[in-house]
Formats: sequence, C-alpha cells, structure tokens
Amino acid sequence: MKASLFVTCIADMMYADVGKSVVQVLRRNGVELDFPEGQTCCGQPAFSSGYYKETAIVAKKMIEVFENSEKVVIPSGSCAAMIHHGYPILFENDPKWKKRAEEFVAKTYEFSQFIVDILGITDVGATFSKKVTYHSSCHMSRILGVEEQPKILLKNVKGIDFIDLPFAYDCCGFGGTFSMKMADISAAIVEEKVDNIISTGAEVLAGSDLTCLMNIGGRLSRRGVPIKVMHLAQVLDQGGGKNAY
Amino acid sequence: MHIEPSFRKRYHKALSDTAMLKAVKNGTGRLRGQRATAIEAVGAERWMEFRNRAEAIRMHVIQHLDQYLEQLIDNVLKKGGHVCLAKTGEEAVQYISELAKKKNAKSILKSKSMVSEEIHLNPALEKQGCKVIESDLGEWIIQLAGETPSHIIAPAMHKNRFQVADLFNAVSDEKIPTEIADLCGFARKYLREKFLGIDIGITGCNFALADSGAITLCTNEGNARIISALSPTLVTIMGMERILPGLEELTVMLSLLARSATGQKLTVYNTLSTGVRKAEELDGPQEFHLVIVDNGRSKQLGTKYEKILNCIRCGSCLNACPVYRNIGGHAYGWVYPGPIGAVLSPLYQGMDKYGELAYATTLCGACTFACPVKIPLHDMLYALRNDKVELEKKGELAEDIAYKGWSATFASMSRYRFSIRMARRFQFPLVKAEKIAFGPPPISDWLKHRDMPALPNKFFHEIWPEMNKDRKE
Repeated sequence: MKASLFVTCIADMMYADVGKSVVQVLRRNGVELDFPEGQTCCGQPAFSSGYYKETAIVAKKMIEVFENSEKVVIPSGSCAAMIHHGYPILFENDPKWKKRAEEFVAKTYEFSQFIVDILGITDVGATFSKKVTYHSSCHMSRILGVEEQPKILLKNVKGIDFIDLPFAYDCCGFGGTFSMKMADISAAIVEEKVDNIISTGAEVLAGSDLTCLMNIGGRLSRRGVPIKVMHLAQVLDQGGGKNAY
Repeated sequence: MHIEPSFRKRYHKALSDTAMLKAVKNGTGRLRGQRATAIEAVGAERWMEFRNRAEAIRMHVIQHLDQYLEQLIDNVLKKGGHVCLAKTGEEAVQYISELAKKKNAKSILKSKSMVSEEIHLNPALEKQGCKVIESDLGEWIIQLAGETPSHIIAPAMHKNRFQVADLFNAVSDEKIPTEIADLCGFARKYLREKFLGIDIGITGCNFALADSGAITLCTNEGNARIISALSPTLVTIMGMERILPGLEELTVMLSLLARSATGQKLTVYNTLSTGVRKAEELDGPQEFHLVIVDNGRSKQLGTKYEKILNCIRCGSCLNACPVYRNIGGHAYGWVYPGPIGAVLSPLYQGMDKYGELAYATTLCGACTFACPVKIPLHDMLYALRNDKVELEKKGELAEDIAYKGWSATFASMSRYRFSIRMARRFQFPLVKAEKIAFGPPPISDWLKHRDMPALPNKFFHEIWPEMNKDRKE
C-alpha cells in the first residue's frame, strides 16, 4: 500500500527519531511511503488561538501538498483531529476549498488508526520487555475517536507488560498555548498526570501525541523521575529486526 | 461578590489555597465517580440514546421558546399566579424588592437558585431590611461565609468540614463537633426553626412545564418543598430557557439530570407545584409570583451559541474539567464556573469583562463529552476565541503579530525550514544536556515547571534523504 507521511512540525523539528520510527514500522509492514515536499504544519496553534484567517493560509498549502496522495499518515492524534475537525470549520463558507478539505480529511489517518483500521494489522512484530503505560491524548481519543487502536498494538508487542494508566483520559494540561498563557494551572494539571503515571510503576510512558509527551516528559524530567517517554511508533519500532531502510 | 480585576489574579489566589483545592478535588472526584458508575449501570449505548433524546427535547424547546413561554405564562396566570418577564437582572430584583415592601416582609427564606445569585438578589433585599436566609445546606454555609457558590450543584464544595464547623460555631450557642452527622444535625435544627414565620419564600426552578404551568424543583434535602408549601407568598425565579413542554419530557430530563449531577437514579425530592393554594387544600402559597429572567439569554437565540441555552445546570462539565478541578469555582469570577461559565460569562456579561475565560481551558473536550444535553462547549470556546480575534479585533498585539508571522513562515516550506535552522543555531545559550530549562517569554513560564527538549542536530526532513539512499524505488 502507498501512503504519504505528514510528519508534523513538532516531529520534524523536535523529534526526528519519532519520524524515523514511523517510517521503519510502516515500511516493515509493507507500506510504500513518500514524504511530500512543501509540508510544514496542520495549523493547530493558530486555529486554537482563534486566528482562523492565518490558519486557512497554511491549511490551504497542506491541502495542496497532499492533493496527489492516496493516503496520508500522521504520527499525532491532535494534528489528525485538527484536519478532521478543524478544516471543515475553517472552510465552512468556502465551497471550493471545503470540498478539497473534505477530500483531504477522507484520506488522512493517525498512525495507529492507519495500521489497525487500514492495514488491518494488530501485531507489528515488535519486541519490548518493559513495563509500559499509555496516556490517551484528548484530541485523539475524544475528537478523532481513536481510542483502542494504540492499545491493541501495544498489547500485542512481545514481552511487554502493559499497565492501564489511572485517569488515562484526563488531560495532561498541555492545551497548546494554554500551557504558556496559564502555565501555572497547566503545571498543576500535569502534576496530577505525572503522579498517576508514577503510581503505575511503569518504566515507560507511551503516547500518540508529541506535544502531550513533551509536556509530561518535561515535568518528569524536571522532577527527576526516571520514566522514559516514548511515542507509540518508537515502542513499535523496538526489536523489529534490521532497519527497514 | 467582589470581582478581582483579572482572571490571572483570581486563579493565582486559587492555586495557593491548598485546603480549597483539596476539597474541590475530593468533591469533583466523588461526583464524577458516581456519574461514571451510573452511566455504566445504564450502559454506554443507552446513555447515548438518553443524551440524544434530551438534546432533541432541549433544541425543540429553544427553537420554539416564544411559543412555550407564552403557554407557560398563560397557564401560570390561569392558576392564579402572577408573572414578571424581566429583561434584565435589575428588573427582576426591582419586582421582587417591591413585592417584599408591599408585603412588609421581614423574614425571607430562599432555596437554591443560581439565577438569584446571577442577579444579586440577596444584597438588594437585605438593603431594604429583610432578613434573607438560605435554606439549602450548601447555600447556607456560603451565606455564613459571605461567599458565592463555587459549584453549580454543590455550592460549598470548596469548604472542608472543619471550616464548616467554624462557620456554624459562630452562630451557635453550643460547640458543634466537626463530624458530618453533627454538622448536618445542627443545620437541620437551626434552619427548621426559621421555616416557621416565613413572610416570603423564594425558590429556583429546575424546569417549568409549559402545558400546566407547574414548577419542578429537584433537591436532595427537601428544603425547597418546605418553602413552597409553607410560604404565604412564594416567588420562583427562573432563567427564561428552563422550560419543558410537559411531563413526558420531564421524565427524560429528571433521570438525566440526577445521573449527570450526582450519579443518583433520581434526585431525592422532585416537587411539582402549580399556582396558588385552592380553597380545599391545606398547604401551598396564597400568592404565587413567577419571575422569568432574560438577562442576556435571548441574545443567544439564532446565533452559533444558541445551544448554550440547552444547559440544565447539572454541573458535570465542571467535574470533568481539569482546569476547574485545579482552580475551583471562584476564580471564574461570575456565578457560573467551569466550562459552562467560561462560555456563559462572556456571552451574558460581555467579552470585555470575561473574554479571558475563553482561554481558561485546555480544549480537551471533556466538558462536551460529559454534557448530558450535548452542548459542544469546547467548540464554543474555539468560536469565542475566533470572535475575539476576528470579529471584535481584540487579539493581543503580540499575538496578532506572532500569528501573522507564523502563517507567512509556515505557508512556505523554505521559510519554515530556514526559520527552524536559525532557531537551532541560536538556541545554544539555553541548552544544557540536550534540554532547555530556562528561556525568554513566551516560554519562560512554561519552563518554570518543566524542561523542554533542545532542537536536535538533525531535523526529520534532513534525515529523510538518508533513509532512502539504499532503496530501489
């Protein structure tokens, strides 16, 4: 199967290793990937701050960039949710772009959703003998409706000891600019999340949204808690044999 | 209530009040746990059917609000009641104040009403010499403390039992122990005495039924029904949207309200009362006044925010909200806290005064999913931000400039790649062990509590060509 990778700006500029793991896991499972030139960002920061006009300029570019793609895979629940939920709002009153946005929405999938729902794969052949817990990102689980797919994939990893996270569906407090504008409230919220993670005794916290992981990982790091934070793709990339590229 | 000049000041005060935060976390934790158990018992699928039905009922009522209001008013008048349709809070206060004067009322007993808090009724009545006593336990506690409600259904959620005991001891002759049962016992004894000799009783209204003019009160303590039975003159205050067509719709809403609010199958006391006491009846008011308050509600009709009028004040969005749970209700600054307050306050009271509340959310959507009548609260918070920036042109200058710059940069791959390369080059003074632990605004506040990863030596788009070197395409 052919698919295009929309790596997202955060993965591109801060977590290149996650992009690498996404490519390896997908290639290992028979996906022929391309990386269309011109891609930057889904527009989420500006959209959630109320700057729809500025968002639309960038969103139109992304629609053009992926116009010829058969399927688009994104390693981020909230960016996928932005496209699914935000783009139709952005182009509500622009029939031409609305149609193009809908076509983009129809072929765009979050990473675990693509593997489970489109490829029909529930075991990617990874091995990872660690205690792992999983944070459900809000936009991915609530807005995009992708809840079970990442957990199915994790539970099928050989050797994994998967532990449910208490209050997994509670927000981590990131909220984009919220964590900068109202940093102290955000800190109180992430503190609850971190306490819950610690209570599981897990060695690794996995997630499907890099900004949530950056927030949680940033707090764990500041508190000096030695729990490793990994994107789902990085976990699924473990023990998968030779590099696929 | 005295309103602090800004949300920031209010929430900072809240964040340092550890006793309050502990009480709020316990309270919301208990309520959302009970709600989850109740939904589990019903089954997720059936619960969704409930919500769909409730949403349809509320939307139907709001879309035909004029019709139902007319029907309700007709029926109240027919059953011997009086009606005041108040455009503003002041009009409602004036009507009730004049009534109190006319009745020469000394003792007024009230039962929980958020609308009366909204329009500042108590201070106005007290100013003209009436003694107003709140009869619901939570309301009475905060009245003794000189505060406003901090939660829609549990107004004193922010207080612990030791604080409550202190408040009770201030009005008691004997020392009250701090055990819950003793505290409740004292409140019961103290308040019951006040019920005798009411001049005017004032209640809120959960739902008014258009087809009969009946007022529905849902309480767990039963004090509201004592007021409606014993008051010679009874005043009911309701928000103009709190109407249902009739009993059939009420059955759906009652079951949904109780489960959403407290996880109960049904609230303990569900009282329906209609008009004035008939000749052969033993209790009920001799005079009944229904005060229907608009106060910003009708402005929402026909707008993208119309669904906000569907709200049945169950408080479940508050319990679900991570922001509410971590700052409590008073920080929101007006009578309705939490996500519903963050939407209602700017809509009813103006963006200038409460626009900041649209940013008091992580946009996690937990509120929307908790709402029994499916108000898309988090979508409304997005829309409010968009209104502020684009309709009212009231974005902050720094942000206006930042997002203009952002869109110019991110709409072009080469400009985007150039800018992140520059950022990587100039991050050196901040980086220590591949982490950034301090920095300039706007990330300075973020970095007070957390580390940020430094930009790596290679961006993904720089690695991608390497990943394809040995591959045959």
